[in-house]
Amino acid sequence: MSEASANFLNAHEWAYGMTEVAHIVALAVAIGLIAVVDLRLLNQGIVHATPGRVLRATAIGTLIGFIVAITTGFMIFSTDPARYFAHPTMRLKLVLLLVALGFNYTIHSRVARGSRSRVVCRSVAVVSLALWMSVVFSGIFYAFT
Amino acid sequence: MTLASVGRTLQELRGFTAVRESAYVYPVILSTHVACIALFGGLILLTNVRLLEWCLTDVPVDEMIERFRPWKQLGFVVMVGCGSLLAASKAAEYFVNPFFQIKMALLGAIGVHGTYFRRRVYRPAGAAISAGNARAAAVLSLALWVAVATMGRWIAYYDAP
Repeated sequence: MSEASANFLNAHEWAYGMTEVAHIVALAVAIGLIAVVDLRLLNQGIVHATPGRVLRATAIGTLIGFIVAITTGFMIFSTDPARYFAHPTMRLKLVLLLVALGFNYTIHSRVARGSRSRVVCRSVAVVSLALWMSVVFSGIFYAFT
Repeated sequence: MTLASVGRTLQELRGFTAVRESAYVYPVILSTHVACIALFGGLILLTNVRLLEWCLTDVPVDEMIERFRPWKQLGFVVMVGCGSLLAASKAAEYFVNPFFQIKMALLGAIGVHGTYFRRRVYRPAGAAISAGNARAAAVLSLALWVAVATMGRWIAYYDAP
């Protein structure tokens, strides 16, 4: 089973396409829900609820999005691991993803839950949005570099 | 005049040729398109989950819709703007691609959805929103947007005969 075609996604184009769709929809769910929290930290969107409440309401959706996006990401990665891992843009994406995930579950969630100054809330929201956009950009640029 | 010839004429325009042949402009537009899908998708998802009464039930639904509206409009304009540039720069392939055609039809259906539920759900003008209408609008919206994203990705999988 050492040939590339032994990988289910390499043998079935429709399965590869479905996996990519699941990856994109899941990343949209995760990043989109984080962006709703970021908007709240920027004093936009759901101002009726505190940032902490918006975070709690979206946390489970974000987590499910992450789990599906990362699982499907690994599935796509497994179709040609040597090429993916050697690629500098893919390495950059993986580093940015780890930084963004780390930021999300430490500083971002702490600031959203606590009552911090406006400057802190705004800065954290901007950093969060920038990090997630950089993950998306490096994911797309991988295919072009 | 066929769809393919219209597409060819369109993509030969200087601006669209420049987008297609550029090393960086094309991926930047594509990345922006996908980034907007993520940002815009979160707003759509949360609105629909709220319409289904699954979360944030103490936030009035019309207030959430109202507060999200300018951000959805901004996301939509950037997303469609980038998408149009991408499609126009490869119009000869895209116009005859069945997945692209289905995607455009689905976007049309989203327009019909928005018009139908406009007074009933999205701009109720003080009137109460019926739970049935709210649920129908939410389920249809989620299904249509996931279908649009799916067709968008599958455009790349079509081999012209």
